Parts: sequence; structure tokens; C-alpha cells
Amino acid sequence: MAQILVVDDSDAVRSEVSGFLSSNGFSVKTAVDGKDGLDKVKGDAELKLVFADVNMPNMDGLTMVEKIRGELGNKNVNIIMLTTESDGSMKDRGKAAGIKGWIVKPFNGPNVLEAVKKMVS
Amino acid sequence: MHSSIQAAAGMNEGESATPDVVSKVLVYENDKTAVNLLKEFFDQNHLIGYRVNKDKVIRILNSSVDLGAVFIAEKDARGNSNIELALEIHKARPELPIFLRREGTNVLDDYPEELQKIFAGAYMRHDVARLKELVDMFLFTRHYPTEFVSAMKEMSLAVFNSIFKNAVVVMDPPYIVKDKIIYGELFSLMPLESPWCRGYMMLQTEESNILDVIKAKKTSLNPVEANFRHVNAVLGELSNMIWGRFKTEYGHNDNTVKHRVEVPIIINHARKYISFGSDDPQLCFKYSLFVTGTKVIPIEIYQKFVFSLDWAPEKYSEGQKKVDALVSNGELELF
Repeated sequence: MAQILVVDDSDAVRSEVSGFLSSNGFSVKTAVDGKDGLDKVKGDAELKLVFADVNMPNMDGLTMVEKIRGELGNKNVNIIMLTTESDGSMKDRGKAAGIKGWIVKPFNGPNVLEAVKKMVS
Repeated sequence: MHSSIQAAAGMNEGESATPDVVSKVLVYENDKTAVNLLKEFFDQNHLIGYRVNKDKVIRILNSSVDLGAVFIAEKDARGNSNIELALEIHKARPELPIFLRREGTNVLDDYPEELQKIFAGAYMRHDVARLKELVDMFLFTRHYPTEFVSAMKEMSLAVFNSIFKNAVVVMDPPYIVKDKIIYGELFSLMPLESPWCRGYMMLQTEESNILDVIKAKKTSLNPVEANFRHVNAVLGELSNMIWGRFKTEYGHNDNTVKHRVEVPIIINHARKYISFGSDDPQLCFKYSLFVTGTKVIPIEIYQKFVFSLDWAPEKYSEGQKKVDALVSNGELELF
């Protein structure tokens, strides 16, 4: 069981984000695409926060979010998109699906630490 | 002759000068007057000349050095013909325009047809206007707006600095090539499109240098487990983030799917050759990353923009910056 899930098809991003979060005392697991992310959210009732990329193979991040809220019925887990995208219509889609926030890469751990602590507590 | 490159090697992220797009050209010329005239012409026309002797010509052409054109004299200093060499050059790099300096004429009608085909054109020693005409017709056939070139440089430099910790990035002047050579052992291909351009970005590099940087803990990856897949991850993230910034800057293409043109990309790994189906000159940047605090040799990354599917710079406008881009990268926008 983990508190935070990091979903990104990039090794480098998964390593960076999970490394930062772990070093700040959070338990973290990772997923390589939206499909993997969906499976890992399904299996973990303790999960408090998901960081998700948008552009991923097999299943993109926004579709994953919609399925988390819809098919899985999980309205509680906080979701922050971490992506190269900043398109307004994508953000609107994310907001409609109930995401909590949006970060345009690169990931800046110190900038988000306080918000992460609140979402996980 | 290549003083422009040495001067530019001092450029780094802090420089705000808008770079002129240049092109690197090979020069095989023994006549002193012609050499001096070419030098002056190159300085005035954004060309960087590499003057070589006969032995070096083919060696350079068989390497992965990207070039825009070749300037060659019809005869050497002893009056011997250089046409055989020109044929070898054309065989090694058929995409490169070859400009032939002749005495007494600037046409090629007296050559057999099969020889005429290998030359883009001929010029005489003092005929600068003719040289300019040839260069404009065969080399600088595509205009890259200065603001666009600057924007590509800035967004790419920002991405490199966010991925490689403690790196000093040195950039050569942007240049155009007509070559279809692949540099290094690996490259990424990223489709790029906007309402006024469509094509690809290539990032090319050598595996060993990036592996050294990962092992030196200068990326976010675990240095102990570093292998070629991690190199792929670094290149992938570089490409992804530059793509993201490009999309933020220029928006996406609204054309309906039924009108989309697609052209096959052909790659010959054995010959380190890649074709996007277009002969238009490609915009290139070369980055040398010096990672501070390590002894690794600089990483060289070659970035190439190939807008082979659509190019309409007349529609380019700085006003396309989207409001969304005002949210800083790395900041959390809460809803």
C-alpha cells in the first residue's frame, strides 16, 4: 500500500518525482501508463494522491482520470496532472473529471511539497 | 575560415543575441584570390567555410559532419581537373549542391549532360552576384524567421538545463543543412505541428556520453542501474518537453484529418541516412553540454527541425503565444 502513485511513461520522470517524494517521507509507487495506473489505483484503497502525465501510450492520463472517477467510482483520491501540456481545453477536461491541480513540467518538488502534504494528510 | 564557429563557442544560455542562421560549406580551392573572395563572400552571406585538402575531402564527406554545400574549383593549382573529385563528392553526398568555379564561363553547357547534373551551377572568380544567386537558389531556399529561431533556441536550452543538473550549455550558431546524415547512435523523432508548420524534430546523440552523465548523478535517474534504456528515457524526456513547449508556444494544427499529408520517413541504418522526403534545407542546432563537477567529456546533441509536411512562415506571428503559457513551468496550478 502506498500514499502516492506516480504515473508517467518516462523512467526519468518517475525516478525524479518518486525520488523526491520518498526522500520527504512519503510512500510511493509508480505506473508506466494510464492502464497500469488504473490497475494500481484499483488495487489500493489507501492511495491519497496521484501524479499523472497526460501523453502516455496505451491509455492517456486524462482518460485514466475519467475512468478512476467513473468506472472505479473513486472520487476521493487527489489527482494532479504533471505534463508538458498547457492547453486550456485539456485543463477543462481534467477539471470536469475532478483533478485537483496541474503542473507543466519540469517537476519542481519544493514548489509542491506543502500542497502534497495537505493532500496526503 | 571557420572563425564564426570559434566565436560562437562562447555563447551560452545567458546570451540574448538573436542568432543568424548560417550554413557550413566545404571548400576545395587552391587559388589564393578565389579563396579570399570566397572568405569575404561567406562572411557577408552567413556561410562558414571549411577549406580542406584532397585527402580530407572524402574523409569529411564520409563522416557525420552536416553540410550545406560544396564549393570546388574546376582545376587545381597545377591545372589538373577536379571533376573526378567532384564526382566522388556527389556520390558520397548527392544531396549537397556543388558549386563549380570555372575560368571564363559560368555555365555548364559544354559538359556532358550526366556531368551537368552533379553541379548546382558554375561561377567565375569575381562574379559575386552569380555566387549569391546560386547560394540563394540552392542553399538558402527556405526562410526561417529570426524570432522562430530564437524561440527554438531558448525553449530547448531551458529544457536541457532542467534535465541536466549543473550543466553549462554551449550552442553553436544555428545552421541549415541539406544533408540527410544521422549523427551518433541514437535519435528521437518527435512530430511537431502548428497552424503554420508541420514536420519533425530530431534529437541525435551518442549513448556513451549520456550514460556517463547519468552515472555521475547529474540526472534524476538511478546511476547504479544506468543502462541504454535510461539513455533512451533521457532523450525521450528531452524530446517530450521541447515538444510541449513548442505546442504551448505555437498551438496545434486545426486542419481536419482528411486533408493531412503524410510522407514516409526512410532510414538506412547501415549508411546513417534518413530522408523525410524533402530536399529543403533543415534548421539545426548543436548543443555541447558541459556538466560541472565531473570529468566527463561534453555531451553533443544535434537538434534538427524538418518541416517537410507544411511550412508557411508568412502565417507565423509572435501573437500566437497562448495565455496558458503565462503559468510558469514547475508551478502547481490548483483548481
